[in-house]
Amino acid sequence: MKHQNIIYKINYMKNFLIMMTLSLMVVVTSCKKTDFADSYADPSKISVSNIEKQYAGFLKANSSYVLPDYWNYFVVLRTTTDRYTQATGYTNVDKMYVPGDAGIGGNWDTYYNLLAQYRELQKIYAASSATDQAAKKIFITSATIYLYDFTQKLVDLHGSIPFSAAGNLSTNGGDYLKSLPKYDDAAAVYTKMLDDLKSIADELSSTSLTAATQTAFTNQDFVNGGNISKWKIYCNSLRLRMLTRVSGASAFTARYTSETAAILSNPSAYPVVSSNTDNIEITVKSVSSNGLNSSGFQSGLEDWNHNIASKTMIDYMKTNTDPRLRILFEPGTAAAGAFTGLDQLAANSVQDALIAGGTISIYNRSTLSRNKFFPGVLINAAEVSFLKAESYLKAGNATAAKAAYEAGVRQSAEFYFNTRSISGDNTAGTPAALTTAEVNTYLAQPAISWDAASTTAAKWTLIAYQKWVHFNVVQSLENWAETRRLKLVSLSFKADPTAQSMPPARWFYPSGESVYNTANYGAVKATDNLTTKLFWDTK
Amino acid sequence: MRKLLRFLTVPLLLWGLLANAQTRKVTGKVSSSDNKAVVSATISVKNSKAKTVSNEAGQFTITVPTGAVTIEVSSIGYTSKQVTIGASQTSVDVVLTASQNELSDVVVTALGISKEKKALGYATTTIKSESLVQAASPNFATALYGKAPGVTIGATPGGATSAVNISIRGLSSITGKTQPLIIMNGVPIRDGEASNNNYWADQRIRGNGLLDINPEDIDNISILKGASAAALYGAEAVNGVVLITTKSGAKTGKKGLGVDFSTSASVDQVAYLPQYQNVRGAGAPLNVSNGGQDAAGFVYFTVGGQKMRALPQYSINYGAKFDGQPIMTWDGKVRPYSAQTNNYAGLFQDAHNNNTTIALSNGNENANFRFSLTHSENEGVSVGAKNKKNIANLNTSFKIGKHFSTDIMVNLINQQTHNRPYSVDRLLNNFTGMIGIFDNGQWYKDKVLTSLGYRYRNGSDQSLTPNENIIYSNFRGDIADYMYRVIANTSDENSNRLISSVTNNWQITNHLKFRSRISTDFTNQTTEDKNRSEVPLIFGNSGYFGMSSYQSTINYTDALLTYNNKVGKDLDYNVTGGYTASKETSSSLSRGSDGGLSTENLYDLAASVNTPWSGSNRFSLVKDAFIGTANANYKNYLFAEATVRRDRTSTMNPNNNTFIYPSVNTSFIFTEAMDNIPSWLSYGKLRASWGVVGNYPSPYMANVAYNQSTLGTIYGGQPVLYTQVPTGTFGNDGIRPEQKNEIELGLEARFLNNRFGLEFSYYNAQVKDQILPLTLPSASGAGSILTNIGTLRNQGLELALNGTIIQQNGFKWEATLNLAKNINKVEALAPGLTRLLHADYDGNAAQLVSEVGQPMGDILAHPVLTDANGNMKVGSDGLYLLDADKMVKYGNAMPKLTGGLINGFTYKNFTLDALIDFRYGGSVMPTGINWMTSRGLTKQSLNYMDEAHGGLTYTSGGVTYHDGMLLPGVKADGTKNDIVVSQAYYYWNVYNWGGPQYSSSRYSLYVQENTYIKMREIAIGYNFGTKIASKLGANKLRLSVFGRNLFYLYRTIKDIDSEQTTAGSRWYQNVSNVGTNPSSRTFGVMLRASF
Repeated sequence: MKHQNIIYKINYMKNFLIMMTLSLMVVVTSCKKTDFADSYADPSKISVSNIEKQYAGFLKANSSYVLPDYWNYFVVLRTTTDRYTQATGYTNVDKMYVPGDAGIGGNWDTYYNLLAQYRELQKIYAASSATDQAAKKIFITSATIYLYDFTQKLVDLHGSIPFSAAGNLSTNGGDYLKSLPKYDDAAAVYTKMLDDLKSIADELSSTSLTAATQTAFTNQDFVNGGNISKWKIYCNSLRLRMLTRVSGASAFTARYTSETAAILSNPSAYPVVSSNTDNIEITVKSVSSNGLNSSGFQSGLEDWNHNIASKTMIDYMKTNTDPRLRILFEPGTAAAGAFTGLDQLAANSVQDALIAGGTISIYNRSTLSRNKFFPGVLINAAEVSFLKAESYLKAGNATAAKAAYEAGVRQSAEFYFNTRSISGDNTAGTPAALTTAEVNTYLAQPAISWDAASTTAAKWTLIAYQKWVHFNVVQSLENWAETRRLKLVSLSFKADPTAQSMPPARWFYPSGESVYNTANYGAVKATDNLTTKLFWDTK
Repeated sequence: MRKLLRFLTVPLLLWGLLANAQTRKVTGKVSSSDNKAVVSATISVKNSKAKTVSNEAGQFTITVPTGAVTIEVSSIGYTSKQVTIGASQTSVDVVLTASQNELSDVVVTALGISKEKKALGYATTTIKSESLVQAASPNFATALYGKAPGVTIGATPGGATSAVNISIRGLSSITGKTQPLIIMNGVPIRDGEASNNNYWADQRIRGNGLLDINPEDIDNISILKGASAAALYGAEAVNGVVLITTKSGAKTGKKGLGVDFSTSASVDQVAYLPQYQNVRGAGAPLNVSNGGQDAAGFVYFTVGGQKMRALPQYSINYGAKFDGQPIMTWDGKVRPYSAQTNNYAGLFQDAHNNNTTIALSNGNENANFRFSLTHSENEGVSVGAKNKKNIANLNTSFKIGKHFSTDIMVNLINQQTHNRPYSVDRLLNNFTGMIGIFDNGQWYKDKVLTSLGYRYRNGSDQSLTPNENIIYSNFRGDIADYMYRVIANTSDENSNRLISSVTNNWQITNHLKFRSRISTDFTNQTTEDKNRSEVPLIFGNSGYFGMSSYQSTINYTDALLTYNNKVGKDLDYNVTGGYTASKETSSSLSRGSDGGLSTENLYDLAASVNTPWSGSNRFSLVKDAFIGTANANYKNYLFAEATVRRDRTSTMNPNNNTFIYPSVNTSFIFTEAMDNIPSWLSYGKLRASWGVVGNYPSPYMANVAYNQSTLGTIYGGQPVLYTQVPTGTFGNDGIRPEQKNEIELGLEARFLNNRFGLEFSYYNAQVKDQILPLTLPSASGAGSILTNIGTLRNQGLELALNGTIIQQNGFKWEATLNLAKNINKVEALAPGLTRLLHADYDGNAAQLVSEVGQPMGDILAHPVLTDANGNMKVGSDGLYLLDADKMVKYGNAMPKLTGGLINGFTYKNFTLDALIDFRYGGSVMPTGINWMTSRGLTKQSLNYMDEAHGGLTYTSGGVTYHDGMLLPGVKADGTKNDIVVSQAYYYWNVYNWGGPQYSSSRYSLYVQENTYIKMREIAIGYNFGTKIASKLGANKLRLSVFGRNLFYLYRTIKDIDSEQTTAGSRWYQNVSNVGTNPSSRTFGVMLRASF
């Protein structure tokens, strides 16, 4: 009996142990409530931000369209504005003047990403304490200046755009029906920006930051390094650019005259970029792949022969012994040092043969495409000088106009030689240094000289050509806007019988607008073609 | 008669009861024909209540009335047997034979529970091992074509490493996952999705997890289709469940050690290529395009003082007709000017595959095991693509004492993949990459590396071998780039995957048992990418080295407590309660060189010119559920089951992540329940079920949070840390799960002594609260937002017929026909939204949409503009004008009917198995193929090319042409069209890229119905007689030849394989893209032996 009892106990123990093992297996792997919460949110993301971090996120949102990068150069600009301005030469192909949806969409989506980050910045700012709002207003103010720069660019490409009601999905708590934005009239967007920038210009004159804000602002502002006076310069230079752009529209003519005069006559209150040291740009500090740099410039400009020089530009520079020729371009490998541009009127097979033959010049790889330190140009001295020249010329102040024009040419040359000097690349060989004498000689060339231009119209043309050379592929969107507005650079295009026969007057809206924002798009549908001119395009 | 019998038995019974005072004990043993103990066999005495079950050793003791009695012995998987016991007999041994339809009698159901098929109130389809391996399919999914009604397979072209899709009963999610849950021996395994439709994101063709499972190790696959069948898997089962049971040692049916051996070798060849024209080369008539060619269509080069003709640089091929006379080719060689019929195929290779498996198995009543080793090598048709696999599989179970048993499965998969197939996107979805007729892939193979091993150079590009630069016209940079990449760049993946599980069973009492299971599916993979230096260092830094690692783990557990008993003598029931939990984690890390390699072809991160880039990714997913089921069995002819699952998931907002999924089903065997069943009806069953299953968003999709990163120190003393609100897909913390409600009715019957069988199902499923990333205009603040906005319905019929059609004189013909019709309908989208856009193609040229009231996947395009009288309007160039404001439906992506016909013939030692699969209806839009027509590459583009082809004669610029076309319609002024266009101009423009804003392309012509009947598999085998086999020491020996993807009996699209557009796991990725890899056809030979 006892024996049996022991066996029973052993069996009991064994069963118990096995049961324990089995139960343990389940306990070990069963889930607790916190496990679910812990795995809900992506560990690489955060649920709260602050003004400073969101500000930098805003500035970062379109950096690949400020610093030269692959998509912007290869997809967007190569097939559109670089052709329309003949900043580059290109093989004539079917539908070459029709902007593609990939390019339009890339540029558009990037702008609205920037705007969405701006709205989020506004949202975070609005939710912060009154003390914080007072101390950190500079983040909103400077972000607004930066935003308007790109808002102008988008308006200049399309005309009316969704603006005042756009970018609000997060602010509206994900209510997507409420967030479908209406379009704002192009001229109204300009008016709003000019009004705001005017008051910002005054506001910045009286802005002083607390030490803590200044430290944070210096740290996060990778455009101007927290320098308020540079933001002031940026703001006023931008006003000058915007006013000039709309100067031909009758509703803005008076405003142009009075406000440019007010800006130019009071440089201490309204400073603008007056030398290359004032240039507003994103400076490259690191060329590592996660830093802000121009390492995407090479494939963006060199792939598919995007860097081919146009005959019009090479001829203009060569004829007038432009000192920038050797720094902006390099001769083809088979050209024995001769500069030649591609003729846009030649048959495409001839063009292909020429490009393959290596006699055509290309954009200087060491200055531009392989220069990973190439800055992200926002607005620089040469551009502002030409804006000034235009303003003085219009106001009848020929002397000041001449000074501004010549200063612009000097600043342009200086800018490109400076840029070459920071390049780590020497593919194109070391260029001879720029001398003041050769710039003087250049400015004395019959086709360049201010004084040699006998009529006001001829002087206008000089400014237009200098802008065109200065902007080239570096400020492609500005280049197209100014060539459209002034219509003074003489460009010959081969007609395309298959589609839009000549370069367009504007871009389409991206196809997504008609599909996903149908009701609002309906209001602008009638103007969504390649021939409707912008309201400022009055010549 | 029956009544009479009943009348007679009553007195006998009474007598028996009276005589009951006297009983005796009989002991015995139940074993199978292979001398194994049959456990849990039921032993009942006829005309008596006495009943018992056999124990672990197959032994039983039963009390029976005195005198001779008849006992009935039955067990699942065996044919029941009646044995008469003599009046003085006290022991009896019963040998049961395995029932012929063993698998159709016992089915593996949810959570790995085996059930009698007749008890199931829902449809399942079971596919046995033999039909999975007969054509040596490299994975189990592509062995399923046509074999189960309602199950459709879509394989991405490229070979054994390309992803395969399975869909069950149509698609249950408009934009979400539609792949079924895959369960192996009761535990979930990693499958994952693949998207191979975005060349720019990933150039190599990826696979999914199901490819790793070795078909040779699979005993059977059971497919749970409806919501009720899968309800125990709750929110993971909206797309159905595939249950894989691997082979075990228990079923070998042999004494002692069993050895099975199989080996096969096969070759895949590129197949179903577009029908190229073989008439003319690159160029265009001068009146269509002047690219500098002369009237004959040539351009000229002077080489060594001699003028040589060459083709002009055109991507269109309406040029000079082939004349066989000498011409300069782009590679500088002079060749006869004639069609290169091997032009495109010349870019690929024949893929050689082999697979060898050895399996050992053994077992006795206390333990059994099966251990197998497999080695397989599969190449792809993409040059250099190769995959090697070593798989070890162990399945064992053993008893610990009387009441415990343990099953252990270990599956180890070691894989090396060298150069996954490289996407041919740039050769098919891109004009400049389409190979001309006077061009050849082989020429590119020869030229893409310079003699020094660098990348080819064009024109006057810097080179150490400038005279090798490619300078002549009609060179295709995109093809050369493709060829260069497949030859010069390598990508090596090394992966180890371990799938293992331990299951413990404890029979606590006769009525109560407990089962617990724990499993893991662990994968570790490393990848090294090496791109050769493209140029010498003096010209710059090039080349690339990257390395990455990936880990994935799924840990799973479940525990089930089951109680069974009976109420009265006719009602058996069992109740189960349980818990299951799983945690899935995955992480990946990658680094790569930046700015090229500092030393040519030095493959290490140390050679990176700039700081190497790095990336990482990880996720974790936690799920658990409480489950309960109740089953009842009334007299073995009426069955009912109810289940409920309460589950939680971490992908949903933690405040609202618990959901309940119920189901009920019933089965009624009317042939056993009713009298007067005609004798030709051997078996009949009616079934009905209802269930709810769900679907959750993918991990982290719902949560709204900021992305954060750093830019490093710039102006200040601290790094620039920044955040951005998501502007790609915006989350939604209030998202609800998708919910599928399904009812199903079915009939199963067998006739003429089980010679013919029929299974029929009707189902009706509504899927509510579809989780969709609703596309928004980016100006709203994001590209899309996660929403619950749709309701979808799938209704359908499934029919399976099988039978032995002829069986006489050693000849046997068995056939199975599977048919499935699914009607998909979008019932609702968001309020005010009647159309959901999945894709807008090529600048509004066509759209893929789902419209309320229609099946999802309507393909829309712009119609031709018509006037008030319906006349088609012709533009000034003689082509039709498109109506840019209107889009019309030209097709729908959902097939109307799918199925398969399986025929098996046996004559003496010969067997022939032939599998046909088919699809009726459903459209695709293979844009790349239509663009080939635009480029003048397809046969279609020859129409009207001259008078013989129906061309009109007309004069242009003083030259007479014979390639005219006149489109019926009216001109802008309303008069009849009289503008004759060149057919070259017509095809070039009408099949071109882009919407009406860009071109005259009529995408309505691109949409084609994809109906086909394909000879999917043929296997011809010879079973050697035992005499020959035994000489080799084997008891079975079989040699077979097989082919897969063989030919079409009928098809509506002639220029591509019917599956060519398969490019991802989501259905909308499979409508228009033909640019993954070419399809292939396979031939092979196989030897199988058992020892």
